[in-house]
Amino acid sequence: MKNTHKIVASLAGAFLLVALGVVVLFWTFGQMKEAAENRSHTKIVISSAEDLLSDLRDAETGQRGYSLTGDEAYLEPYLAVRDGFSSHLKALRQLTLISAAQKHLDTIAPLMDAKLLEMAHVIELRRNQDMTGVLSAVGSGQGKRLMDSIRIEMSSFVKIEEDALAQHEAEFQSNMRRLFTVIVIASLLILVLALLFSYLIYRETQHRLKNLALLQTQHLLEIQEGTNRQLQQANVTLQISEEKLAVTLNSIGDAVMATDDEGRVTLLNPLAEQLTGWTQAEAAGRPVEEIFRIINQETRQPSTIPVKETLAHGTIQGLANHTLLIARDGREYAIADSCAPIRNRDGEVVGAVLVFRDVTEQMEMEIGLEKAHEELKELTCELKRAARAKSEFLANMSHELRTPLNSINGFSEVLYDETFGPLNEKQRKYVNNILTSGKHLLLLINQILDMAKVEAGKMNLALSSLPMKSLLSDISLLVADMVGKKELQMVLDIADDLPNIEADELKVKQIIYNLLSNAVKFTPAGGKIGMGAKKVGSGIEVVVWDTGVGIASENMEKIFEGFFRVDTPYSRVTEGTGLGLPLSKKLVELHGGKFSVESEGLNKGVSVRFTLSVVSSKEV
Amino acid sequence: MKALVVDDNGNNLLLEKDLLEVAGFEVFEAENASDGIAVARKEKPDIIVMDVRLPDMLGTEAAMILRQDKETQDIPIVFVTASVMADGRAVMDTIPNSGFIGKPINTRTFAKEVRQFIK
Repeated sequence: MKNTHKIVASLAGAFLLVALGVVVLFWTFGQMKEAAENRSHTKIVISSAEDLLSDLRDAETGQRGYSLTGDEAYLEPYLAVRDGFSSHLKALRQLTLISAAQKHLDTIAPLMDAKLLEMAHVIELRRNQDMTGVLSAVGSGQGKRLMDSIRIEMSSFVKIEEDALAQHEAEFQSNMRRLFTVIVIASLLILVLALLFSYLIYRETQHRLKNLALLQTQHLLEIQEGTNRQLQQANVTLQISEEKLAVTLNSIGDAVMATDDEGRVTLLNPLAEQLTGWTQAEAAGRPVEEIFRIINQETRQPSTIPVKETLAHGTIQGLANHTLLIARDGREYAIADSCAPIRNRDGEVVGAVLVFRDVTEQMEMEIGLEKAHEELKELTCELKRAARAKSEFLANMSHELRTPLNSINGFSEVLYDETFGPLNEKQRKYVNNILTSGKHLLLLINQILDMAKVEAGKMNLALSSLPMKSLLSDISLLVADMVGKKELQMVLDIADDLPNIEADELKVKQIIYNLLSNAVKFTPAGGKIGMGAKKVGSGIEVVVWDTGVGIASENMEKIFEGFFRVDTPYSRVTEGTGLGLPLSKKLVELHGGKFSVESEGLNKGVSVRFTLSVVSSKEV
Repeated sequence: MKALVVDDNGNNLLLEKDLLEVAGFEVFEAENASDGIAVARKEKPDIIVMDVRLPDMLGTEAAMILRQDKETQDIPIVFVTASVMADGRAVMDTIPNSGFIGKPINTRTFAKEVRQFIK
């Protein structure tokens, strides 16, 4: 139980006890009061009884006096008794509470009547002057007997009442004692409780003080612990940093050598040991020029050691290029690097640190690089020559192929036109076959050349402002014939607000014609093709779509490779070079636009989408 | 109307000659530049149709010679060439009163195209 609870409990106990004591006191007082009342009542009863007896005696004495003297004055007490006795006795009877005493009073009442009668008789006799009768009446002793009986009864009555009085007295005394005892006990208890309470409060205070002290101590301990931890941490950090420094020096890819302010070696890291051929233990304290012997690579004259300069001026020094380090065993290393001052907190130079590295490999590499660079130059020249040759070849090929084609196509056209006389049906058909094949060959050559030119970066664009809306309609008319022949439906959706485009007219026409003719070629009779164009951002987007044979997803990559032809029943009857799509893509990209082909799969049609900006991003 | 056709390829020469003759030209032929220049000086044609790649010199070089000759300097020259490289075109553009038709020619429009260059 906590001390606070104990204090509260003892306090509550004290209050209860005090309350109990008060209750007992009140009760005892009540008892005492009652006993005192009883006592005084009994006293009244006794005195009343004695008064009655005394009155009776006075009446008797008065009666006797009258009998002797005949003086009426003696009769006064008798008359008072005779008139008041009945009520006096009645009052006494009412006052009397004890039944045994009441019985005595009941006995006394007839005796008193008899006595009063006897007295009245004697008085009557005396009044009648019958002295003899008086003497005989008195002499009979009846009056005395009656009086004796009354006296006896009365004393019995008084005895009972006196007993009761004694008892009340005893009760009163006993109550007094009890009161005293209660007061003593209550005082003692209160004293004990007060002591207990004081003790508990004392203990509680002590406890609290102790706790406070404990808390303070704990706080101090925590602070101390924290400080200890920090110290430990600082130690660890220091250790780690020292280790790091050691590890860093050991693992650094460069050789590191430190000297004091007089240029004597103080430290060599493993790489420095390796390059100089000196160990740290051997080198420590020796002058730096003894350990770090350097000469100029070309003149083979000793080079100035930068440590001296650094110590003298506190500046960072770089080693001269083409420096050779001569190791202890005479081996030579091409080295490069620098020297920096070591300063203390006040900024005074207290030493120098020399960082150097073996650049032998690097130098070899540089030589190799130079050689490679030369080779690359030659290769570039060769490439340029090759590119030139390729261009020339392309120009020549173009010329050489077109020249015979000029004859083939020209003559067959003249024949077909029957300029110099009619042909029969078969001749006309064959000549037409030659012409068609010749034209196809010409298309192929043109496209191959265009591809080659784009790839060689030789395709030049002749930019002009193109009214796209009319241009698109014009080209759609070019394919209208084919569309009609194949019973296709062509849907045009060209926006009214289509802006003019800065582009090469021939190329743009070529692109759109390629796409539309592809759509016609690869869509079976009864299908639909379409072209849509709208303004998108700062350019236009053109979509050419069809409901034709589509492109299987696995072929999606191949369509731009060139000479890829969709392998369908239609491909046999369709004409094309397989270069139209890749060339169109290249031409769009040449204009700075984006070109994409979408198809949900075989027989799901194709949508070709491309963009052109209002101002072409490619300049001529 | 006289036309001179200069082309080292006999077939092309024949084709162009036929087409021009059909269109009503009197056609003279030459298979190299020197002959062409000579014929031009002699016949003073109304138009010269000239290939660019000729065995002895370029058609453009022959044209420059013709332009320096008072007698031939005003004869319009139409270059018919299979060369598609743009660099050749630049030279042609420097020659006054000249035009260009690419090979292969369109037989149905060739004579008309040539006639357009005659003033």
